[in-house]
Amino acid sequence: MSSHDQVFDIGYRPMPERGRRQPPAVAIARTMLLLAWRQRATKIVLLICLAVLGGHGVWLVGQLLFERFGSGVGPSGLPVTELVGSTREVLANFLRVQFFTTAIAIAVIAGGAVAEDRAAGAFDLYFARPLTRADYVIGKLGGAAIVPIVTILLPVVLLWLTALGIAPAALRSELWWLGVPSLAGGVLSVAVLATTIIGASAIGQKARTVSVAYIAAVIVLSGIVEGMTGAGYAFAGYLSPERSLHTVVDWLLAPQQSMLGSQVSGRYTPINHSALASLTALLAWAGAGFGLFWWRLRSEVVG
Amino acid sequence: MTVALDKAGGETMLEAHGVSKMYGQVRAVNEIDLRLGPGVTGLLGPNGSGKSTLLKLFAGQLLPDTGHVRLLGADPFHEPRVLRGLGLCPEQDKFYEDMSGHDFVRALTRLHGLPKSEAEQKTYAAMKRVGMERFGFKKMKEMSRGMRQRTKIAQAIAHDPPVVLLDEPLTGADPVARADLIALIRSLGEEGRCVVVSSHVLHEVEAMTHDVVFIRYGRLRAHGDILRLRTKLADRPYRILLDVDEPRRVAARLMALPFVQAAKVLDDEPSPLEVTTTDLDTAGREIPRVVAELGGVVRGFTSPDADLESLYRYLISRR
Repeated sequence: MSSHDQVFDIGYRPMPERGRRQPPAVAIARTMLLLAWRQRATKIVLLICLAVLGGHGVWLVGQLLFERFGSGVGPSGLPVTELVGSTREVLANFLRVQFFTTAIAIAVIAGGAVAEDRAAGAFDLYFARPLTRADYVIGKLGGAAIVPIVTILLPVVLLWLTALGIAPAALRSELWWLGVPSLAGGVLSVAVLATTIIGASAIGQKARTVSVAYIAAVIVLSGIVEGMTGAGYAFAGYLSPERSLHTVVDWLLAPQQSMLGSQVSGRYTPINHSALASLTALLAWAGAGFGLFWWRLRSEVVG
Repeated sequence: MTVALDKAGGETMLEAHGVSKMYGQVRAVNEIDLRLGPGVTGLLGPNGSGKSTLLKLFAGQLLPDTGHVRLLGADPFHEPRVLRGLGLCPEQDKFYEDMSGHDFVRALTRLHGLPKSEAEQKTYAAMKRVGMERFGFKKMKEMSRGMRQRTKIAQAIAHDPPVVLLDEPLTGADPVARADLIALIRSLGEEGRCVVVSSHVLHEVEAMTHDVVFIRYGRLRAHGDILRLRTKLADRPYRILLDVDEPRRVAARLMALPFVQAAKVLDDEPSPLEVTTTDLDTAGREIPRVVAELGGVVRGFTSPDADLESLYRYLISRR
């Protein structure tokens, strides 16, 4: 405390602030992505994701161009309705394959999102600033979500718009209905991948350990689930996020058979219980990831 | 015993009122009352005395079990907005190692919601102020300990906070860097900011400020100006070393004075006379006068018991 005999030069005067304040969550997400971008592995996995997108793009465009400028039948002599089915297949396959590649990408990019902060003692530096736990959660989840948004959600919309743009007029009305299910599949992928990697990062100690463990878990879990379902344990399929996503996406992308499709098209279809169970399993994975993150934050950061 | 001095009635920027904090069965901070205003305050105490816990309470990172903390008049725990006015330099020395110092400071500055250009400008100004403008491009892992300390301080002051909490800010800095950082910390206080420095290095704290807070076992032991606090310790007399001619004659004369408790002649010492007194101020005025009356002159007058180290020893070592 100042003593009676202490003289201050000018007294404290804060510097004037210019411009609007930005949400701190944006800065948190930006820092996280900036740190990841410095790694060579990040660029490599993103290139792989780009290659997957490129391959599916070529597949889709090739089919549709052949249809447009061909004789009204598909490349293998398929009728138009089967070409629509092929477009669905491209979108569904893209979501399935890109889910795997993005799982690797997000493990590399966001594996250290929380683990690094804990190791670096960044919580002390972060929470001595005007931000809340909610800001931190939004920032980290937002930063992690950017990865599947860029590698899955935006590309699937791009593929769909490309299909719409170059498809023959007769196909457009059919392809139009694939947009919402594709988007929903992409959003589910984003939610599951972002929350699970952040949850894993929250309980991990080192970025590299979290990344390797996450990728191994995705691969091993898929293998185990394949084996168990092959041995007759059908319920095991719900344990694999990739398989659950596949089930849900197949359901969503088949408008005539899905609840969403029936609502959109006005046609009644029976509820697919397997797809609903898969959706529940995906939401449970997302909830578990978020729960781990929140638990860690509550235990290490007050307020 | 807690020694407290009357403080100036200036603006209170940090306040703890009846604050206690328990970690399980351990009471890390115990019923602390403290009001801090502009200027540099040294926070002193042995390891485990509760210094870092008190800083975390001030920074809103802990909720007190009893009492309340106010930062710029608001509760930092429940009102994080007030943390805009706080700069914290924590003790830990781990960072995002692959980031450059400049990026590190800018990233943390942007957490205050500053636009990119403004954050960039303030980052540059802060790095310049701590003498790191030429080394800002270096990755944290390539920096020396002293550079890391400077960078850590830069992130604490970049957003121009009125309250700055520095936990062991000089750790690892070389002598030149220490001198620079001490000057910087003093200047922060002279600007009217409330600067709290937690440190073990007493002479460095003494170089920054004479206003100190002593904590032991989580309790406030003393708060105030070093010299005035020392005078409160009446049961701890001062030793004064005098460099005079004819020390025996001077000793005999001084023993007659009421404020002198003892006088001892030290043979073969640069200051041959040691006087013990409980009133350093009076001794400082009267002894030269008495020596002058005897026809001598005081060539040296020092007290090994009037510095921060002795105060620390008395306040912290005794129960």
